[in-house]
Amino acid sequence: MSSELAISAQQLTKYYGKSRGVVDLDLDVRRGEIYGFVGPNGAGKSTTVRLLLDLIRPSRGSATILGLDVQRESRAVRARVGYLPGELRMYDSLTGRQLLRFFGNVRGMTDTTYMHELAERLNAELNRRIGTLSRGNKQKIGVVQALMHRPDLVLFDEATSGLDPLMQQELYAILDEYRQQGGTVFFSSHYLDEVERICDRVGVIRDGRLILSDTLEAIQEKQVRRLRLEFAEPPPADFLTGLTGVERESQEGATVVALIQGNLSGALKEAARYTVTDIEYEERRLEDIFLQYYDTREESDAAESAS
Amino acid sequence: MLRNLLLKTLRDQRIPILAYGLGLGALALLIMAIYPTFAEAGADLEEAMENLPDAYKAFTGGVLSLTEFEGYLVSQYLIILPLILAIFAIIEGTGALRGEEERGTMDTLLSLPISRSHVVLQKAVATLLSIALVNVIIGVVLLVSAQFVEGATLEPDRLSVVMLNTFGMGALFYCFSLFLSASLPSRRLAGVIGAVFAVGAYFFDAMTDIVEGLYDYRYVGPFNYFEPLAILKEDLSFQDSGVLLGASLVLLLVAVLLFRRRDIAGI
Repeated sequence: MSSELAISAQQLTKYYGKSRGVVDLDLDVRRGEIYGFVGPNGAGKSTTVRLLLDLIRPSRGSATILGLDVQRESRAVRARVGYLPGELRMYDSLTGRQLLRFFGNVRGMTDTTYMHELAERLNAELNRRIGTLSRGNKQKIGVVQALMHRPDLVLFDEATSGLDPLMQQELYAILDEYRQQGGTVFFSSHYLDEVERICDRVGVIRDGRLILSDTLEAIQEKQVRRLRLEFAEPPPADFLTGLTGVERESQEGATVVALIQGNLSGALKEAARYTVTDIEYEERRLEDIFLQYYDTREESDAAESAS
Repeated sequence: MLRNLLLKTLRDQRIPILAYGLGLGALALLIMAIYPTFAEAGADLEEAMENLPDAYKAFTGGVLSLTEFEGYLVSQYLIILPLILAIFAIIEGTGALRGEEERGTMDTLLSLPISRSHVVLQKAVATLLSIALVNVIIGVVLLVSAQFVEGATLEPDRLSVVMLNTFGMGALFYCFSLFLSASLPSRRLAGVIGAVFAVGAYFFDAMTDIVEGLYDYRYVGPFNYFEPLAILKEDLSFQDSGVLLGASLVLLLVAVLLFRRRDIAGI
């Protein structure tokens, strides 16, 4: 039970009858980080969040939040956690202000200064009935209720859906400040660009299983990218051989194509010994990496099932 | 009114409660106002009553005389009160848990530091207070209006026990609906079963007076413990109300246990 961890799950598994929710999920989210939880629809992201909030019970395995057992100490956990699902369902007959007051009362909040500050920053409509608000405006109220009690951890499940780009930027800024003040964010999303933008570490879930969990840099480091170098004169045949993480793929005249894993500097130093006329380096966005990772896994899964 | 879930639930119910209180109060006034015409009918009405089939009498609270005030009030008004309260009780009971889950608001509510037991108990206490309030309104309307209606005599203590008995029926239907809401997979199914139970219980009780073989089983039906005529005319007993409230408490506790154990349905 490490206090360094905001979330820790061990073999967390949930089946709905015979349907798979999540399987053997081992998850570590450190305090003070923004952890992106990425996967396609139906991968098990919401199931994970609902297990952590004790809304559903695991078939096996366990989890702790801030060192507290999510089942046995659920109420204490929820006192220190904020939650925002993708489409927050709230009490439509209440105004935003009434809802926030009710939630604040249940949470035992006495100081509402931060609540009003958040509402102002997000330009949230507090005086209209929630039932009359657009999805984006409801989501703003949702963001306020998730953060207003200054929780130690927030669980955001597809939380930015419905927010316009300006409000998304404001939310990212709020989350960044929150993290700087020591807060932890568990950010489930299938929008990889926002994950790439705000998250420190990323976990990838597919078919209910966590298939990758690392920092963005480390994930990018592991990727093989194609480097195309064009020289004034053809380089020697042993050019780029013997360098760690570098593999010559082809050479046609004065053009060499190599596959690079990790750092580029070794290959560039070697290339600088000759007259380079053009360089092309494959740009890899997180989206490309994940798509490649998914494809690779699908191929290996297919191979496994064939064998 | 938003200090806690109990007060919020009361706030949510304020309009239906007002509608029920005023509606049933107005009906009580109307029933009281036309009593003198029944009383005047006197011997003719008594004769007509004697010729009515037993089945009719069984469905109107076992009343033997309509010219007598107590019999009139029970057969024309009090006997149907539990069924009218059951509509409110079933809507609120099934909506309290499954309804909130189906609307998706239960996830948000349970993301707050409130235990599942508290959710059930605070909602239950609020709704039972609402049902009690409707009964108080009805009781006050009956008591006050009886002062102005010739031949209508209502003793406050007996009327209080009748309203407690009516409250017991409302509480039982509510807690049964809450139990269904905690155990069944959909609000609609819980609502249908709750309604069938309420109407079925009413018919069952009437049938136990008509069908000989059923008489021995009358104790299993809740209407067996609803005895407004006996309370108004005979013994001032709390026993029937005690049975109803005891059964309500058991159902409520079972609902709490079931709701604590199961998964909250997502949307």
